[in-house]
Amino acid sequence: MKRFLKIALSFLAGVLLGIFIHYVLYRVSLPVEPFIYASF
Amino acid sequence: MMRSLLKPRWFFAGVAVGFTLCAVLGRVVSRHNFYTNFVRFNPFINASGAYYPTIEQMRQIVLAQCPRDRILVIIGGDSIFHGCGQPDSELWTKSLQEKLGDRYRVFNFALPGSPSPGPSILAAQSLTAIYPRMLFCCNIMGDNLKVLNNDPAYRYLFWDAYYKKTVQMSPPQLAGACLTRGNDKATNEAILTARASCLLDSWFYFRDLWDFIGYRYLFTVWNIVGSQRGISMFRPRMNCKYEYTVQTPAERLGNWLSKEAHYSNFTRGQGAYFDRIVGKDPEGHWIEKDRNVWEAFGRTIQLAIPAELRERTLLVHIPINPWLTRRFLSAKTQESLLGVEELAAKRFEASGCTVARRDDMKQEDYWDNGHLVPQGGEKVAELAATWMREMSARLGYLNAEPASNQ
Repeated sequence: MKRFLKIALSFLAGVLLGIFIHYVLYRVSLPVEPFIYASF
Repeated sequence: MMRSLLKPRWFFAGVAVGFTLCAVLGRVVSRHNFYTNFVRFNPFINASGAYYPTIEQMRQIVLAQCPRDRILVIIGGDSIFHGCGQPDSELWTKSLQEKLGDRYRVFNFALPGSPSPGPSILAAQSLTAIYPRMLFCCNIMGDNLKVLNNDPAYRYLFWDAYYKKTVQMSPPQLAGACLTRGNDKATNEAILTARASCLLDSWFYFRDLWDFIGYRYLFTVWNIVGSQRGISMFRPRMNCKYEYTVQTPAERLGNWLSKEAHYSNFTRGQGAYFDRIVGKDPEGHWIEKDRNVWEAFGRTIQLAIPAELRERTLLVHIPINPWLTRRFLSAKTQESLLGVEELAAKRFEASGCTVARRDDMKQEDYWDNGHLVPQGGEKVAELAATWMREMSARLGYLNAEPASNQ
């Protein structure tokens, strides 16, 4: 049981990290400086 | 310690699964229209709001809302055609749709800050095979036209379409995309960054997935549009309403006067440029004075408007607010302005595009130097509808049998 929990926890932590890496890719693809449209 | 808590093999398997799952989900959402009641890419869902839509998203909006037997009308251009200064209920494209009737479907993909023709021309290009009866329309002011790759806010959309193969780019289009501003290192770096991020996005679809989540559930990027309006940066973009309030003519005039120095610089700068590039021959006809400028302009037309779209492209000329030209330009420069418009129109028409303009635009039609209030938008809608019907007849769209009812 303890071994199963460990596997599940490891897998889940990995999934979360995978999602986070995907999100980080999205964030780094955004321009560093915000685009400010001056007219309005 | 971590090693004893986690099993590395399962942990890394989890990383791979989590990441792959996101990439697959991104690909799946990119194939569906997730926008609800789409009107236009308002500042909460464009670069101003740190939200970066993709060409595939534009395509999916069209595919979901435009039956194949309708004449598809895609509106590109900048903030003027986006309708800055017009609330959703009085947006010029809404009026255009009403005037054209059910046979047409109008989509406003114009993006503020993106010079004409804007990225939506790529969406139009990619849809020509599905919608053979299609018109593309954008605004122009004088000879103002730009190759998408030189547009800092939206150049990523060119590479988005290129790497995802949404559009089959022609060699001239690619050559145009590779035009950079000479030795401008910052621009070249920005282009490389855009290319790299779009290449990665074509593999992992992170932009589509996180746009979808940001639109429907939770937005996570700080942005000035929400901040100025006291709207939480986390609020899903679909729940963020951006309304332009229409001021009275007196309020608008007060605004213009308060920004007089800015407008004076803008108008005089434009005027000096116009004086430099046009002249008259002894018979009084307009001639292109600065050949370099005009040849570059001719090349830009070829690169910015794909050949297969030119005969379906309507360019609507929106003159500068006459209040400004009267106030800040000499009679001679006002005349030069007309000369630029005439010569630019000739170049556009020679390339196969159709150019339309209204000569009765008044200062009451304007929000500021070029943006229009609903009254001005109505005039443009009337003009565009007339020309679109004429073009549809010329291109044989009105005789063609509906392809299918899907």
